[in-house]
Amino acid sequence: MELNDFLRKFEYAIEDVEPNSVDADLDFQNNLEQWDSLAAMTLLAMIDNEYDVVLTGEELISCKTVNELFELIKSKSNK
Amino acid sequence: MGISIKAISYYLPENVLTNDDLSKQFPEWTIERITNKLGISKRHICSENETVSDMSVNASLKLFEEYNVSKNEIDYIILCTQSPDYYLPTTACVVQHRLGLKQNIGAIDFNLGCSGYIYGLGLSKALIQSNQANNVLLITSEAYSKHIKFDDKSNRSIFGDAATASLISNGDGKIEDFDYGTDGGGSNNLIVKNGGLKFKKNNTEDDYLFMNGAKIFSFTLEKVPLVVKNILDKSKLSIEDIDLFIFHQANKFMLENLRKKLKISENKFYYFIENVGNTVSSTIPLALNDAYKNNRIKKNDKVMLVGFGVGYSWGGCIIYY
Repeated sequence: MELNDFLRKFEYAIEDVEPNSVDADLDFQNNLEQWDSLAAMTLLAMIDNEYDVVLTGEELISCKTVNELFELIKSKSNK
Repeated sequence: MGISIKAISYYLPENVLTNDDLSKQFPEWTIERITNKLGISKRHICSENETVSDMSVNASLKLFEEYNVSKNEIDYIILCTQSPDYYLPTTACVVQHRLGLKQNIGAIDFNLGCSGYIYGLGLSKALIQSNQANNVLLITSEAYSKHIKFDDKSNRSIFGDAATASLISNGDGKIEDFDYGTDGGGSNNLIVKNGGLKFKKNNTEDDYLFMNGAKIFSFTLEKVPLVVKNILDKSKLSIEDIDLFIFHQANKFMLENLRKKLKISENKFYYFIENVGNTVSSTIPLALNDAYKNNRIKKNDKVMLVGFGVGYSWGGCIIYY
């Protein structure tokens, strides 16, 4: 899996996020305006659909940046 | 002959909360997002003086009237709620009296949420099979609105109040292949923390319903496919053999993800959420009743029911018509 591709999927999963506006260092839980429980749900669904990885809520919340989330998924994914 | 659901009736409070109402109160809340993601346009909400016992009585009276059920036939009441009128007495006892049912019958409450209907079916079946009862009145009655803070836009968008009454007796169908699950480790993720005997109400957020949506969602993605697999293993059936799937109607987005993950075709997957919202233990009987009325269930059909949520608690079974 590739970081840029993940960033675009991340943007698409959370609605109303401008394409190409999210970078790897974004502290998405604190600095993303659209972040809420519905966004968390759609993000978990995207990760499950695209990477066949079911993250727990704790795992998702433990990630500070988008890059940390990307690395976590990568470590759990076979793709 | 087996043990089956003979009839289902329901009651929805008159008060309606629409997406328009919500967007007036929460101008920052994108209404399309609620409609698209949650699949909910309106919910029925109890009035201030309307309680779970009132809804239970109304749903039961409707059952007696619509299906010509004699009050004297009922020999056990099982009532599922997490919003009882009192700590004590038992809501089912209050309901027995208000309905004018016989006195030589059993009546119990049990406290479960979104998995409640499955557990209620399991208990009803066990009572009938062991000759302790013949006609069980299984009631689900929930008023989460009483637990939700007025300015909690997420939960007010999701939950609606409702009650259902089912008559469980010997009949043509069967209820089989039960599978249950429990993980109290998730209890803090969907909770009304204060107001029980451990923590008094103290005018903080903890006095109200709290739901960690992301954690509940990932719990669902993990456990629901397992329940489905266990039930199929027990029944020696495959996904294709099931004629209709009725899952707890949590929200449309969650259901759609589960459907795709399990590779269930759209025409075998029932939705009943748009005009009622997530009614907790009543979602499955409401959907089942609607599917039946719309001729989506025929003789000899196999319908899989799966409930999951607060506790965590989950479970499922197959109804053979």
